[in-house]
Amino acid sequence: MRRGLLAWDEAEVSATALDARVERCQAAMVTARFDALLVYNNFPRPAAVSWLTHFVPYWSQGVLLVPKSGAPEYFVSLSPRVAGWIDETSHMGAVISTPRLGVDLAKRLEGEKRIGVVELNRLPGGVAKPLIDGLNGATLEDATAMYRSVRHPADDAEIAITRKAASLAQSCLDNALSSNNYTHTGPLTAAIEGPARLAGAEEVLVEFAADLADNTALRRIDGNLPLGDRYALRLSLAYKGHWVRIGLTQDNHTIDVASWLIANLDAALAGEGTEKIAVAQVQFEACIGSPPLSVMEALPDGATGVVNFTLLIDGNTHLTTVPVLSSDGAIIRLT
Amino acid sequence: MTPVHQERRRRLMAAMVEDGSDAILVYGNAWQCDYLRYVTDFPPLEGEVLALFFVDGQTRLFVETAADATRAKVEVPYADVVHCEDLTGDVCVELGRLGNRSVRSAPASLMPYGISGADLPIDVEDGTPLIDKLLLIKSPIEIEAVRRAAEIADRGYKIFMEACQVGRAEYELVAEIETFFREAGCPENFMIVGSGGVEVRGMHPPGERRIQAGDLVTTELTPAVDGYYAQVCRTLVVGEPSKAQLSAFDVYIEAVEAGNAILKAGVTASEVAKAENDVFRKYDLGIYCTSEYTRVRGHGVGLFVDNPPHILEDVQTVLPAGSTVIVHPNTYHPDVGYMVLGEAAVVTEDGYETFCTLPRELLSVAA
Repeated sequence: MRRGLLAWDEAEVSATALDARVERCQAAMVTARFDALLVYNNFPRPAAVSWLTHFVPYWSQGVLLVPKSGAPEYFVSLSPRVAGWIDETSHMGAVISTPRLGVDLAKRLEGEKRIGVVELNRLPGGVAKPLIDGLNGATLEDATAMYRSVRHPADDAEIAITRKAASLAQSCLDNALSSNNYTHTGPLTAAIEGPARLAGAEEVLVEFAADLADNTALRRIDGNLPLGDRYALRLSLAYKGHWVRIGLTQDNHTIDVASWLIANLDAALAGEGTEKIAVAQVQFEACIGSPPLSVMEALPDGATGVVNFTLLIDGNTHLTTVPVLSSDGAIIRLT
Repeated sequence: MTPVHQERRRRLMAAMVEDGSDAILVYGNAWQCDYLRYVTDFPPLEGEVLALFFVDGQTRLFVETAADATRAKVEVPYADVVHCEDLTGDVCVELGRLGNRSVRSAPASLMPYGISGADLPIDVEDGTPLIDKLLLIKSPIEIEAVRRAAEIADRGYKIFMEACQVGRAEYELVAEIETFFREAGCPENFMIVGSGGVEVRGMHPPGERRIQAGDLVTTELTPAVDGYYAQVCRTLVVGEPSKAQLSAFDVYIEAVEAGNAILKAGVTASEVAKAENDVFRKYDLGIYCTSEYTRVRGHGVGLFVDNPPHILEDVQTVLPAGSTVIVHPNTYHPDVGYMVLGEAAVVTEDGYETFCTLPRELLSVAA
C-alpha cells in the first residue's frame, strides 16, 4: 500500500511494445473464440493489466476490457479527476470512471456472446454479481489458461526493466550492508528502502528472519526487532510494475555462499549441494497472471522470475533469493 | 496473541452468539484487509487470504501465496494455516464440510466469485453488517493504536516539510517519508501527493514533477500502527503564501472547523458533510463539493485507510462514540488549485478528540 514513483517512460517500454502484447492477447482470443476479454486489477493484483497497458493501480479497482480488435478500454472506480493521471502513466484506449463497474461493463458488452475473464473465480463479488445480472445472454468463461499461454516469453522491454529492478535492488542491498553494522530491523530497512525509493522504486518490501536461531520465516516487521547473530533478509522491489526479489543470509561462517551460487547455479537448481552446503528447497516464482509473482514448479521458458533457495550449512538454515531469466532451457542470473 | 486482538476476538464471538452464527468467512488482501485483520490479526503482504472463524474461536486461514503462508504460521500461531493452490476451490470444499451450520461471509463486495457464485451445499448469508458494526466502534485499546498512528503521522509530516524543497521530485519526498517511517518501525503508510498551482485538481501517487517556488504541495499521510491507520491532510506553500492562497485556505479552515464542531456521538455522516459544504456554499463554492471535484468530505479510519462511513450528504450512518473519522473538506479551489486539510479524530459522547498537534493553517516552507 505504499506506492512510490509511478510514471511511464516510453524509452523503457514503448507504445509499440504494449500494442504487441495486446495483439498477442487478441490473436489468442480469436483461437479461443472470445468476443472480449476482461482483466481485473487492484492493488495486490496489478500485473496482468500492467503488462498490457503499463498501468499500476494505487487505490480502488478496475477492469480492462480487451476487445477483439483495437485498444483496450479501462473501467475504473476512480474519480474522473484521475483520468489525466492514468493517461500520463499508461497506454490504453478509453478510460471510463464509474463506481458501478459490473453494471457499466455489462452495458458495454451488450451483443457479445463469449466473454473471457482472466482468473474468473477471483473476480470480486461486487463486480461479478452486477456484471452477470446485467449480461443479456452472454456467458463468462475463465480465460486464465489463455492469458498464460501468451504471457511469455518476456519481450526485450520486460527483460530490460526487470534487469534494472534487479540491479537497483542489488546495489541498495550492497550499499546498506556495507556501510553500517545494524543491530535492529528498522534502521536496516530504512537504509535499504530509502535509497531504493530515491532511485525510483515503485514498491519496496523488506522481510526479515531476524534471528535464524529462533525462526526461519521471513516476515515484514511491525516495530523494531533486534538482529540476531544469524539473520536473513529478503528485499522485494518493484520498478515500473516489474518485481524482483533478492535474499541473503548474514552469518559468521566462512563459506561464501553468493560466490558458490554464481559458480554452481545449475547444480543448486538441481538440488545438488556440496559436502558443506545442502540444498533443502528450491522454489521458483514468476509473473503468470495478475499477482506480481506466483510460486510454480518451473519457470516458463523466456520468463523473468526469482529462485528462492533454502540451504543448510553446518545444519543451519541459510536463505538466498536470486532474480533470474529462463532462456532456452537455461536459468541465467540477472545480477 | 496481542491484547488488541484478544479484545477483538471477544467482541466478535459475543456478536456471533447474538447473531446466531456458527462461523464467518472473511476475505482480505494486501490492499484491504480490515475484515480479515479484525477476525484473525493477519495482514497479507502480497496476495489474498480467506479465513473461517468459528464461534468457539477456532480459526482456519486459507492463504494464496507461499510467502504469506510462511509468515502466517509465525504471526498467528493460533490459526490453522493452509497454503492453497486453488484458494476458492479449497474454501468451497471446506464450506461443504460444515453441514447445516449457520455461516456468514464478509465483505460481500470483495468475496471472490469462486465462492459467492459457487453452488454450495450450504447457505452462506451476508455477514458484512455484523463486522461493519464491530469495525465502526473502537475499543479503548484500538483508539490507543490510532493515537500512536496519529503521533507518527504528525512526525512524518514534519519530515515531509523538511523534504519539500525546490527542485526535488514528488517521489523523492515520498522516499524521505517512507525512510522515516521504516526507521521508526512503522511498516505501512498510504500517501498521495499533489504539487503545482491552479492546474492541480487532485492528489495521486508521486510522479517525477519537481517542486517549484510558489507551488501548493498537498499530501495525506496515513501510517499504520498495529494495523490501525490515522490520517493527516495538510497543504503547504513553497515560499511566502500569496493573498489568494491564504484567502482560499480560510474557507477550508472554516469548513473543517464547522464539520468538527458538530462532531459528537449521534450525529450523522450527512450532517457533518453538510456542515462542511455549507461553508463552501456560503462563498459560492458549492459546486466544488460535488463529485466532479471531490470524492468524499471525510471518512472513517481504522483497520483500513478508508473505512465507512464516507462523510457525504447522502450517507445517513450515525457516528457512535468510539468511532474514528477524519473530516477533510479536500477539494479544488478555482483561484489557487487543490487544497486539503484534516486529521483523524475519535468521536466522543460530547464532541471529539484529535491527537494531531499540527496547526490547522496554510503551512509554508522556504523557497
